[in-house]
Amino acid sequence: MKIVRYCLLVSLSFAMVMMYNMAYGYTISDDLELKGEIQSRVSIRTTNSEGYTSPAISRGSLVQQRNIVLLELNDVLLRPSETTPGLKFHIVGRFLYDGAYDYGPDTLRQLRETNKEAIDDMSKSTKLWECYVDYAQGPWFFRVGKQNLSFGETDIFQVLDRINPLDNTFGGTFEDLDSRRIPIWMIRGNYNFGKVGPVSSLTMEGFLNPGWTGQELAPFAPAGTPYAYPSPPSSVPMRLHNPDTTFQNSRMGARLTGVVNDTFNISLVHFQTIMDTPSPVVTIDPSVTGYVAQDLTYKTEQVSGASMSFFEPHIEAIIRTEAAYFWDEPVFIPQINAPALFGNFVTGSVPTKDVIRYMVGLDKNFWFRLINNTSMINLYLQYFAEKYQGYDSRMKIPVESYPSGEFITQPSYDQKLTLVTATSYMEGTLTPQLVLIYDPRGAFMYIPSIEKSFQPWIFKLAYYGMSGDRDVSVAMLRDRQQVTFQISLVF
Amino acid sequence: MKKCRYFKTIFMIMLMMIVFASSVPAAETQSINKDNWQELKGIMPESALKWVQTGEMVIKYGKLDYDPGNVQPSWVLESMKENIGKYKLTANKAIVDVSTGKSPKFIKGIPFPGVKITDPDGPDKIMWNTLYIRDVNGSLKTKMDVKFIGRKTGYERSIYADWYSKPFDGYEPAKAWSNHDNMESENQIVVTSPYDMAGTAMMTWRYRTDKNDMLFGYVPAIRRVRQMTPAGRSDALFGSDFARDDGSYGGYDGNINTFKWRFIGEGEVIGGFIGSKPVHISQNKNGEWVFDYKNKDLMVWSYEKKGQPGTSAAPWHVDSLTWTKRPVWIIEGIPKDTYYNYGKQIIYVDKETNVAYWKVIYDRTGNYWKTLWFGWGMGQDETKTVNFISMPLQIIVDERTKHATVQLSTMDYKCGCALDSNQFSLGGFTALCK
Repeated sequence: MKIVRYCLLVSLSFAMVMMYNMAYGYTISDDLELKGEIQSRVSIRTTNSEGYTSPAISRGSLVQQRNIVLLELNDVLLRPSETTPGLKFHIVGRFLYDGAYDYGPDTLRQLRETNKEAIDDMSKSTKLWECYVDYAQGPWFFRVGKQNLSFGETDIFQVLDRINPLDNTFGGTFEDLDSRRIPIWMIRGNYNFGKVGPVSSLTMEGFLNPGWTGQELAPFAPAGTPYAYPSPPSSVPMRLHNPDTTFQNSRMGARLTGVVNDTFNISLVHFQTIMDTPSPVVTIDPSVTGYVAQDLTYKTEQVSGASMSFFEPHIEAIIRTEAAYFWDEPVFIPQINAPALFGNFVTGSVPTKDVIRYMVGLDKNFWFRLINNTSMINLYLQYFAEKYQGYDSRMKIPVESYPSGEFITQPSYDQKLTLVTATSYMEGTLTPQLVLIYDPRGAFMYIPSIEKSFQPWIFKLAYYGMSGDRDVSVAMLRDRQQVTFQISLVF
Repeated sequence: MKKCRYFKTIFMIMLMMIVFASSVPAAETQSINKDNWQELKGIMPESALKWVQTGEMVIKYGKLDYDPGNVQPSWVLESMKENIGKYKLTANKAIVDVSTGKSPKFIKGIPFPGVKITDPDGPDKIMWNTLYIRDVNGSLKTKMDVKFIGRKTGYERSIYADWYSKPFDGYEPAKAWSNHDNMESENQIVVTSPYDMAGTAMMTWRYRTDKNDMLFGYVPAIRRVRQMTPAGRSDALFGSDFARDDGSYGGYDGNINTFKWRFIGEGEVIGGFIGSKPVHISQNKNGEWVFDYKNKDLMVWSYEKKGQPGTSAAPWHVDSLTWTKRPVWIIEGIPKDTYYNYGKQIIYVDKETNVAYWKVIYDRTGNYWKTLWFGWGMGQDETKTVNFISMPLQIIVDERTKHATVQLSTMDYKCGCALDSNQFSLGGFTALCK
C-alpha cells in the first residue's frame, strides 16, 4: 500500500505541474509563492561487488531509484526598510521514496525483507524539511526554525562545515554536500557592527540547536545497502546511543566575520557539534547473548577555526584558506575501544586526540575559447590535509581490510586534492562538469557529468568512477562505481 | 443645392476630425518597416537597420510628448550648471576635484556636464556620466524578468530575480548617508525562479577609488556566502547573451580605466522610450517612488503574437516602444585586457540625458557579434516636479547564435528607496539567502 501511496503522490505532483504548466511556481500574491521540484533518479552499478561487500550486486543492476518531491512556500509578511523591520517565513516539505528495494533487483528486495524497518526508514519518508521565520531590523537578523547553517570556505569535503548532520545513506561521497545536509531546529542571529577600524561589515553571528529537546543525528546506511561501507558480517549485536538530552549536548557556537582592508574576507569560529560518525566501543554486557555488544555513541566535539579569502589580482583568482582545530576528537584504537578483541574482556573506552584540518583553495575563471567562446571555464582547486596531534601508531579506521580482516590504518597526516571544473553552453542550459578527487596514498575518484535543461525539465547524466587501493579513502567504495540518470521538473 | 449641402457636410466632418485629432494628446508616430526602412538610414546602427529592412523589427517613429532632457531629477539638472569644470580625471581616469586635486567626498548629479569633443578625456568623462546617471536615481528595487528568446524557438524561458542597489554618489540625499568604506555603490541580485537556480545571490561593493570590486556570492549548493572573483566581467551572465559588463545606463558597468575610449563622432540616432509620455510615478507609504508600468500595452512582445497575421517581426521585438531622434555622442571602447571576450564596442550616448540607446559589439577579431539596445522610462509625478530615470528594458541580440536575451523590469520598479545599509553587510546579505 505504501508503494502505491508514494507512486500516487509522485504522479499527482507531476500531473499538477503539467496541468498548470507552472514553470515558475505559483505566485499567490506579491508576497506569497509556492514552488518546488520533483526529481527522479536511477543509478546503475557498473562494477561487480568485491571484498567484503555483501550482498554482492552485479554490474548492470539497479542500485537506486530515488524520487523526491520538494514543495516550498515563502511568504513575506513585512518588507524591511531603513526604519521598519522585515519578517518572512519559509517552509519546505520533502517526500522521498527509493523504489530500488521494492521493484529493484532480487538482492535488494531480499535485503529489505531482512532489515525492513531500517531500510524503509531510509527509503521512504515524508518530512517537514525546512521551516523558519526570518526577522531583520537594522543591524539585527534572526532566523528561527528548522534550517541549514554552514561555516567555512570548502566544497566536497568539510572542515568547518560541520554543523548540520549529513545523511550518507543514499550516496555518501557520491552526493553533493548540500543534498546530504539535514536541516535542524535552530535559533541563529547576527549583528552587524559596520566598520570598526580597518574591518568593514564586522558581523557577530551565533547559533543554538538545543540539546535538551533531542538531536537530529547523521544516519548511516544499513548494512548491505548499496552505499554502506564493506564489512564482514558481525555476530555481535550493535547498539546505537544518542547524546543525552541536555543543554551541554547542544550544537552551538559563534562566528565573527568581516572584511579587512577592503580585501581580506576573514572569519573566526568556535562551535560545538555532534560528530556524524558514532564512536564504537566493545562492551562486556552479561545482559546480551554472548556477553559482548558493540556500542556506537554519537559524541560532541569542540571546533575552533578561521577562514580567509581574498582576490589576488595578478592571477585574477580567489584564494581561499581555512583551518580548524578539533579538540579531543574521538578516535579508534582497537586496543582501547575494543580490548575484548585482544583477549582482555573488559569494556572499551573512547580515546581522543586533537586534530588539525585545513584547506587551501583557488577559484579561477578563465577563457578557453577553443572549447567555449561565450562562457568562461570555472575552476576550483582545493588541497585538504589533516594532522593528528599526539598520533598513536595503533590508530585505525573502523573499516576492515579485505581479506585480512584487520582494521585499516589511520595515517597521522592525510591529504587530498580536489578539482572541480565546469562551464556552460547553449545559453546556460547545457552544463558539463568534471569533479576529481585524488588521495596521494593511492586513490582517485572522478565524476564527469552533464546537465541539460529544457525548462521546466532538467536532465542530468553522471558517472561516478573510482580507482586505487581499496584501503584508501575514496577507493574504499571502488566496487560501487555507477552511472546515474536524473530527471527533474522544477516549478 | 443638395450637392453643396453634401460637400458642406463632408467638409464639416473633416474639419471635426482634424480638430479632434489635434486635441488627442498622443504623439504622432509613423510605422517604419521593411517597406520604408530607408528613412532610418544614418540614424540607426547598421546592425539594427538590417532588422528593419528584413521586417524583423518595426519602428514606431515620431516625437515624444515631452523633452527627455528636462525629465531628470532636479539635482541632475542643477549639476549640469554647477559641475562645469569642477572635476577632472587623473591619468588613471579617476575623478578628482580640480581645486584640491583629491577625490571629492560626494558628487551631486553627473560629474562632467558640457563635455567638448575636443577634450582628450571627453569619452572617458561621458562614460563616467553614464555610470552616475544610474546613481542619481537613488536606491533602486526592481523585479527582473530575464527572458531567453531564440529567433527560431521563440520564447524559451525566464530567470526571475530581485535587484537592490544603493548609490553613495550622484543622488543628492545620499550626501547625508554615512560612507565609511568610500563606496560608489553597493548592489545585490537574488534569483527567485526557476527553482533550480532560486536562492543564487550576488552582492557587489564598488569603491570610489580604482580598486577592484568586492564580489560575494551565495550558492545554494554550498549554503554559504563566498567571495567571488571580480575578474571575468565579459563572462555570460546566467548563461545569457548579456555579459556582466553590459548592464548599467551606458551599456557598460565596468571600471572606466579598463577600456580605451575614443570619440567616433556625434550625431543623431533613434532612441527607444516606453510610451510617448513620461511614465507616471507616485510615492508609496515607505516614501519610495513607484513607476507605473501596469499598462500591458506598453510591452507587447512579438513572440506572444506568434501565428497572428502581420507578425513577421523577430520574437524578441517589442511593438510598443516609441522611437525618437536624439542627439548622441558616438564612442568606441576597446578593452585593455587581452582576455576580455569582446573586441571593440560602439556606444551611442544621449548628449542631454547621458543614457545609452545602442551598443554594437564586435569580437576580438573585429567581426560584428551583438547589438544591445534600451527602452527608457522617464518617470514624472503628477506635479511634474519629481523626475527619475528608469531602465526597465534591455535587449541584446547575438547574431551568431540567432538568440536574444531581454532584461525586463516592468513588474516592479522603485527609485529613491529607503534601503538600509545593513542589508548590504555580510550579515545582511545572509538574510537574503536560504
